[in-house]
Amino acid sequence: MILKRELYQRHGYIKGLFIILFIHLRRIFHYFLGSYGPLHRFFNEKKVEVNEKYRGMLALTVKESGELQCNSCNLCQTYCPADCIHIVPGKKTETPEAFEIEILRCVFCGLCEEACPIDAIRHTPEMPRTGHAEQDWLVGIKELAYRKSLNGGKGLLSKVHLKTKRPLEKNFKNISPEA
Amino acid sequence: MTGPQDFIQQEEDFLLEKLVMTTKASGLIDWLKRWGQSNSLWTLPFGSSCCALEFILLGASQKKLDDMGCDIVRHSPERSDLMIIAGTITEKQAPILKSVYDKMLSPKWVLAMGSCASSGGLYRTYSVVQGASREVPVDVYIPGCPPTSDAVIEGLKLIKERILKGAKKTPVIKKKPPLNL
Amino acid sequence: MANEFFQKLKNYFGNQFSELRPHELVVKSSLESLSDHLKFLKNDCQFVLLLDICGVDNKERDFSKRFEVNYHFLNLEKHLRIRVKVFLDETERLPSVVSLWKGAEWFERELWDMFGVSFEDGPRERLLNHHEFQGHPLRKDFDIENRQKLSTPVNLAPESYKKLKGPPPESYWLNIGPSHPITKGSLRIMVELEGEKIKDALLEVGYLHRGFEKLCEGLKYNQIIPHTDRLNYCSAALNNIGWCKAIEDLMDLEIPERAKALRMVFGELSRVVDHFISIGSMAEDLGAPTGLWFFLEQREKICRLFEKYCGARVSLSLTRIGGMSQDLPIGWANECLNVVKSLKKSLEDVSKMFSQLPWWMDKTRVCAITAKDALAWGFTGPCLRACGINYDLRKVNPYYFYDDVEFEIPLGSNGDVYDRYLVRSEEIKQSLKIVTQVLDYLPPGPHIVEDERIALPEKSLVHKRGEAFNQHNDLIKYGVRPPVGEIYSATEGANGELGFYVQSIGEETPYRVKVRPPCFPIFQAYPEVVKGSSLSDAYATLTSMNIIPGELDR
Repeated sequence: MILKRELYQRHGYIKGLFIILFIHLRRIFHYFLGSYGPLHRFFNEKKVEVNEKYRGMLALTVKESGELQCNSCNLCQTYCPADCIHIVPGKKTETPEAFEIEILRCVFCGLCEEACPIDAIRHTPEMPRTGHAEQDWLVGIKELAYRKSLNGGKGLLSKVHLKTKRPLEKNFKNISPEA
Repeated sequence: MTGPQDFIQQEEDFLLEKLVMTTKASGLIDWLKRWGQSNSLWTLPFGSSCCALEFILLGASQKKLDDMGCDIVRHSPERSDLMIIAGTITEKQAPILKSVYDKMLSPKWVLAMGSCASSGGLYRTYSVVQGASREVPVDVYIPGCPPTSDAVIEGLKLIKERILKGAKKTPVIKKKPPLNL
Repeated sequence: MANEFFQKLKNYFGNQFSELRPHELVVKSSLESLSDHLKFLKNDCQFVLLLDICGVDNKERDFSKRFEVNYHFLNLEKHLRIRVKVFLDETERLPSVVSLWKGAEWFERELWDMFGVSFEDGPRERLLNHHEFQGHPLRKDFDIENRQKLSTPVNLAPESYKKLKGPPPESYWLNIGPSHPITKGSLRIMVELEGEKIKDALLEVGYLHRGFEKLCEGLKYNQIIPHTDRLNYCSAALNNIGWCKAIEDLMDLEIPERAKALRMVFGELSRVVDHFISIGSMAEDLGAPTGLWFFLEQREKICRLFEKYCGARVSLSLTRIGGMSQDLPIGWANECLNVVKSLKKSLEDVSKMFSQLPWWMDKTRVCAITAKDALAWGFTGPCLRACGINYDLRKVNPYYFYDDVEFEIPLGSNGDVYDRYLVRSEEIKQSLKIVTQVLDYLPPGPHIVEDERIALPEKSLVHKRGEAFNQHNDLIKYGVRPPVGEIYSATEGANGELGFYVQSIGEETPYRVKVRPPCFPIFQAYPEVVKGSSLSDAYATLTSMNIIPGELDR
């Protein structure tokens, strides 16, 4: 569609001035009437509106006994596009000995949460905390699973109940290259 | 979920006292100087990519920056105290970052916003500098991609604390030690 | 009509011509006859627009010659794309096509920079890497973490700039350097001024070159989706859709109807966000910062909608190969319709604040470009439609449900800055119209295809540790594997035609990925558009072109 011809006609200066004044006065009038939302929203900024689905800081979930849910299957490590997860599997048990995330490299994309098959790692709506440059920016198990904001230090309970300590299914199916 | 928790607050006080080298204010004039510097920071946004968009949003809603006293945004290094690096730094851009930092008059502070400016982020490639700390000494890091406006406000509060306690600069990091795993 | 055209091409090329898919033709050529073939295509067959020149290094495949160069052209009347392939060795030289298509210069410089392909009429300079860089990054034997520091500081008048015109003291050089509020931190323009008038301009790009194409050769197809978010960071959903559509067309996969409709909704909302930011920064750079704040407030409403769906405001990663990452939450569609209604009301104010007003029109009726020049440089998108050419991929080659919804394409008449602003502000209204139509008739069904080799199974089934658990593990460890082949697929991005050229060898990672950025040819034409005007007009032209460095430099 060709744009209307009148859009190319130039108003005079006085007419333009009155148009803009009128628009702004009308906006101020509506602002006090409350058409842009309740007035206290503009003055009371202490409450931070947090959305439940926000992809914030990562958290490792725990079982009912308090141990970590994670069983070192390394799927989140293979799927991460930034290569920021480092896992050292435990020698005697399935739970990992060390689980470190370089939080400065993480882009909070959500792919590790999608890759985990037993709901061991999740995004919480809390924002990742800022800090001074001198501290150690490798986040370990203590901060990921047992920080105070997760149930007062006890950790988030996982949705999946692993009843027996079964090893991972070892016989993977082969996929042929022609899809 | 509305800010740093008690656990984190204690840890940061611990950091400021033990890890960051600070000096105590000696006398009224020294204290007045630090109080004045911390409450009127003029910022220089050095933005090159997506994080710069989120910073512009913060600057557009003037009320949040007004409370902090940082609402004067000047694009000139000779008139600013705080440089905010928002966006990826490449090898082509690195000498420009260094020369802009050198033109700023001391005392000056640097804030690295986002994961690309802090540590190279997603990009482990041939043309991206792995963190702005390899070129200029950085004071505070803000992780996120891109970080929310509230996270940036927390970072600015940390800078104010550093100024009030007289923190000394860390040297420029040339090579990060390998991870012990 | 199409049959006669194909017959003409078959008579000229013989066996080398084939039709890979509808609207995609391939011609295999050789080094000696390349110039003749290209002249025939341009003059007799009307392939007027040069889309892309892409190089490939075939060292890991057993071909006889090492390099492969693909030229992509577009015929606007018949909506056909043709690819011309040429194979050459490291010692052979390629003929230059700058005399036929003006916009080929930067593509050839990029070929030299990335691969080391040399040309017949002399050496080329580097485009994206700095001038002290050794090696050619996209060759297969170049290590990805081979970083090289730039030692000399920025040189304001390098030798290569001095060799072009301007006897002193009548003219002097002004550097609008990368750290400048107009250039948004990543572009550099050297302008030759004579008094107040601009005689010539030189551009330097590559300040945000992050190596996206080399990274893609080591990542699986689904892991590339967060990377495509950051190409055009103002409208992230359109890039995700472009990438997933390219891989789905390569696999000949049909996605469910609900996924198509959802992709349309998010794509149009992203387009609206991009136009908001573009017009807002235009207002700020021309002296009206309240315009920027107004538009950012409107953009905030849409970003909250995105957050309620996928959890992020800017870097969305909405789609997966085969559909969408998740289904709509309850109540989202109603909220979206309310937001669209409130946006329509506030947009009426905006159009009165800027259009037809004397101070805006005096600043923006400058630097026009003719339609013929625009086609010679390779423009697409709102900048081409402002010159009067009616070409939009959603109407000409409709995908998903774009031929079932009613919307119009606004066209300008002069091709200057005011027309680009008018076209963008009218496109916002048309996009909102599309969103209401699609949400009124949202089809039911699954949101992702139910094939175990492509899409992850549902989480609740995986938690029960049955068959779905094995499928989940297999897919994450071994990835999606498209068949062997190549494709060039294009969608309508916010700035123009966003194209992805993908070559796959049947493994979990692609062999070569190339992005055709829509603002690459537009920025290349900047020196010619700006000749003879004053400096403030040059600023207005730069912001109206909407150059996004993340997309330009990749």
